[in-house]
Amino acid sequence: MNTKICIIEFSERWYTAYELEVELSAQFKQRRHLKFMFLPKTRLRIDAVCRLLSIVNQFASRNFIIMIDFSHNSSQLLAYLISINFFRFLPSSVEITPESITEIRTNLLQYRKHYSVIEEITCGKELTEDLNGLTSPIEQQLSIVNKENYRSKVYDLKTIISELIGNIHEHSNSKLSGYAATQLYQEKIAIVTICDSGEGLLKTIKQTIQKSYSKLSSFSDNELLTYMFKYGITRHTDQERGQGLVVSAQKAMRLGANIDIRLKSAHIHIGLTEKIVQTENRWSYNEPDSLPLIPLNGTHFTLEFEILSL
Amino acid sequence: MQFNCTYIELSSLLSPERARGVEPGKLAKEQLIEFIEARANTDFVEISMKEFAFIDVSFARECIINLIRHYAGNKAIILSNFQDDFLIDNITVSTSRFKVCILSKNSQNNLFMHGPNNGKLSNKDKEIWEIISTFDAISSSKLASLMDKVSSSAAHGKLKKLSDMGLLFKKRGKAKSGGVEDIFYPVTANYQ
Repeated sequence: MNTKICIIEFSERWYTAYELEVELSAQFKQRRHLKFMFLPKTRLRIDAVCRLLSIVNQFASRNFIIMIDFSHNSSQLLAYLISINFFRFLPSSVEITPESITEIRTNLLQYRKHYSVIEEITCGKELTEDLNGLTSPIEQQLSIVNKENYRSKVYDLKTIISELIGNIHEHSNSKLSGYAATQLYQEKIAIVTICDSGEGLLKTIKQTIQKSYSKLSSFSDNELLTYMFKYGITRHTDQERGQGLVVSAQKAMRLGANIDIRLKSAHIHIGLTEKIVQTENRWSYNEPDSLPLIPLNGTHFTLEFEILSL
Repeated sequence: MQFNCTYIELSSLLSPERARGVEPGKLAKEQLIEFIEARANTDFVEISMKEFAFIDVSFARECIINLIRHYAGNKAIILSNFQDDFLIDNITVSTSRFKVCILSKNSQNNLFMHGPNNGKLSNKDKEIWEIISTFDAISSSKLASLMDKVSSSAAHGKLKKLSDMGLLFKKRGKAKSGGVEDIFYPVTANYQ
């Protein structure tokens, strides 16, 4: 690896997590120094923020020198990142420009009702995440648009978040933290993101498959994930567990959510083909055409759903 | 036969915000077993879910489902005081995999059975249940006599299956022949 800097420049537009990674992968060169530059009107959706955190943490843990340059960015993105505690979770080795970033005062806190702060998920420290804090931005709006049923919808959402966080606690096996966050956009689009930097869903699953599900051993990652969402695969030899993903998928379906899953070497989008769904047979699976993404450890879930349709 | 009941609020063992995840579920199950074992004569254990606004699937499986399996045939677990009807969903979702039934009680003291097949019994189990639930107690030989072409040992297997689901108490009793045999007591018929 030479010592020249690889500069990743994010242009003046909104980025989802997937779009952020496509940009990163397109500009990525194997260098010891990595610099992320944000232009004046670059905007990051909450899933992109958490993905950036995971990427930075993973590169830093492999002794890359990371710089994040916000000097060209307006204070809006910065204020937002401060208000959701983004900088709290960056490794101390990461160089941030401008240096006085933590002194930026933000009045965004008063608007916090539309988004949660980033919750850290640390293996071995169960129940430290604020589940109510994660769901409250969506719950508040749901209680307005769907007074009669919002509590059961929030229950579904809590179940999904709790099960995915629980999976991280049980299987991530990483010293690096995972993250969860939620945000409501335009008072109608809910984004829920939950990610970790651990072994990844399929790695641990594949170990079980070789022992207990030999018929699935020839499945592609996409086919395997499809099967897991439909029928569940336990990672435990007693075969009495492993329903978390199935239940999460069922609840996500009830919310009408599209699910985006980033695995180490795969990106899978699971969408609903109809608004009103009853069975998993109506899921459609698309693997977007794109540049190859750089490898990323862990499992990164993003759920997107319209609360007006609930 | 006299059956004894005991009551516990789950919130006395753990904070209602902590009903999430595998390890907290295992811990709560152990605490419930400790509580129940200290009351050895108890047949019915009513666990109140008062104050619980959320229970995740992992916690429910490790705590409630495994507790029912632990005591199946021996003690009946009844859940009560749900804040909302949908709160039981994350508990009943595991019933099909574990082949157990959940018993819940509403504020009018009526018992409800959930699971293990989408909240119901299979047709075969339902057929047996409809026969035996009219009795306070029934033996394999009695059930066999009520069914066509069913041997006593086959009837025992059917009763044992429902017992493993948590729907029947199984106790040793005197057979008409003078020996001992298993007597099965439908939990719903014996709950007061």
